[in-house]
Amino acid sequence: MTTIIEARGLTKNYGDTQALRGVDLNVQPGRIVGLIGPNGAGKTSLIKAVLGLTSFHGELKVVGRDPRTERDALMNEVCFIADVAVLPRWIKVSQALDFVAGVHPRFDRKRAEEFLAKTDIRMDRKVRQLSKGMVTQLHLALILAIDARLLVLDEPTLGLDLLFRRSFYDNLLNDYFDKERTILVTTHQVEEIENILTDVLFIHHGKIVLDSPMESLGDRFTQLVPAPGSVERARALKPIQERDVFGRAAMLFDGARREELAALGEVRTPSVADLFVAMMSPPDSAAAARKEAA
Amino acid sequence: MNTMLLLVRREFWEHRSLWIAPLVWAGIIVVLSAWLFFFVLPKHLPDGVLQAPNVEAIEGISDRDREEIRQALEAAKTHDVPKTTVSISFLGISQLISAFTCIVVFFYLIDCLFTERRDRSILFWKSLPLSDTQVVLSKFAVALVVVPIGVVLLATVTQFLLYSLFWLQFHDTVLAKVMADWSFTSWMRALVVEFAVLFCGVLWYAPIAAYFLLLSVWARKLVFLWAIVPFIAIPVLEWVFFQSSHVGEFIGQRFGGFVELMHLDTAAFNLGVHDSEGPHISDVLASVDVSGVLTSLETWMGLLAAAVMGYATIRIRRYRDDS
Repeated sequence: MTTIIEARGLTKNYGDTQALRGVDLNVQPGRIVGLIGPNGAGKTSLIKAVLGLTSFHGELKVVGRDPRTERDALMNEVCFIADVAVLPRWIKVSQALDFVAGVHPRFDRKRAEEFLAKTDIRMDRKVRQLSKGMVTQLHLALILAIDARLLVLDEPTLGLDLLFRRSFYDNLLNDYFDKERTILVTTHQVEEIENILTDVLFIHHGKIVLDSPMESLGDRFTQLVPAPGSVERARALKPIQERDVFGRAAMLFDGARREELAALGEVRTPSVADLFVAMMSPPDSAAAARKEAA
Repeated sequence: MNTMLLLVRREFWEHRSLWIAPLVWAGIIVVLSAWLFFFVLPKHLPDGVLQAPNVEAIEGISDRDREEIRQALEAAKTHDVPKTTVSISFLGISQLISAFTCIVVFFYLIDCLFTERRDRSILFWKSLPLSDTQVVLSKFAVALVVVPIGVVLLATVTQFLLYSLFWLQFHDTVLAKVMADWSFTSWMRALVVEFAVLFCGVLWYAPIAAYFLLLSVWARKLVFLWAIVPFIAIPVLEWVFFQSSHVGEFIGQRFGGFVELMHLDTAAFNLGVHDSEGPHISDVLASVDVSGVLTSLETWMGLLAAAVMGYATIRIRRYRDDS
């Protein structure tokens, strides 16, 4: 089966700023990959490169095609939602369906209509007359009805309330995702999607700093809240991050033996959000905070 | 082909002024003409003109006026005016609607690739399997093919309406003599002239359209000023610094030069019943010459410039990364 995204040494510069610094990536079919990073980390640059929307250096194949030279053909097999506000505001719902049905060979109009029938969106409405949540539903209806191999979502639920966000990802899982399809998603609301991800990619300063299947995270990372007398012993094992939680130290370890940590206190598997904070924070921020508190 | 048709249709969904504005303008022309025929003319013509079946029967006018009217009608007969009234009014209406639509198309061209960047909807269009070449060509097709053909059709309908109104009001009066006996041939000739003018105009204006489209894809803001200011500022600066007007002449030539190359004498369109000096409309129709435009180096240089600017527009839309 073709690798969906294969990148080697991807670099992208905006003037003096390096947005991507030699990114290597390998995404297989049937995965839901979360691309997570702070603002300015290079998420959007990487996604734009994947979609052929920007120039870059390095090797990149998406569904076996070069996005630089085969972008038009690529869009037959790749869909994306850039964010919630990119549907043209003048277009009517019926026109949007007519248009996508006319230009996209893999669009199933009936499926889109069935999805829309479950919403409050009327065919004669213009996008400007819809709420932000409804616009997202419409966009999702258009995308779900396309039989694509890769779906790229860049902050697809930004600015939506919790109900719409939850419904968005439920629909994505129930009506779209299967073993043949791959989803690459970026979002700031990590905690809301971590339970649907199969893989997680952390990007920071233009580099991939974590590329791991979700099921491996538990084997690799451990969070420890050491017993009061064991704090210094735990520190000696070199946690990658330490922070104070209700007056007690909480430490995150990469690659430490879980049994060894369990002897020092309470251990648990960190959430993706915990990992994100740990890996994106400056290395000595916890120590500095402790000094300041002291 | 279907994709191109859909892309063109899309333009009319988004830019509704492309069809609404010319329709409204044609409606205004019809309403004003009806007002002229039914209210203004009856009030201002000498008493009895509209009731009289011929000049001799007109009452309440001086002998001098009666003689002038008789001479005018004779001149009209000599110059075959009745058969060409349709042609003249058709071309006149077509020019009125064309000029107005040019303004509409100007705004369309500077807006169409600018707005999609401003509202970021370009990201939606780019998520579909459409090439930038298809998208840009569809904009050219709208401005240079679909809208011009629409203008001719609209002018035809408008002319029929005006002709019908004129007939309703004046068919049993002396004025009917200056109204056309229905001449299908003269109407067809006028239509041929109009399509010839349209064809040459499209070739001639292609680089100007391409320039506006290039601005639309390139300008980050103030696209209207970018479109207008160079046409004014550069000739003025040339005059201030060099006391010459080459750029101004060049721009003037790019806007109206093709009429000369077609050997169209615009004086013919002002032909009146008193004017026996100017060229006759029939002569003009016979002398319309498309080859003058097709063999002109200026035409081909303009088309080359349009192709280069069109290519630049496609490349900028493809590779610009500011969304």
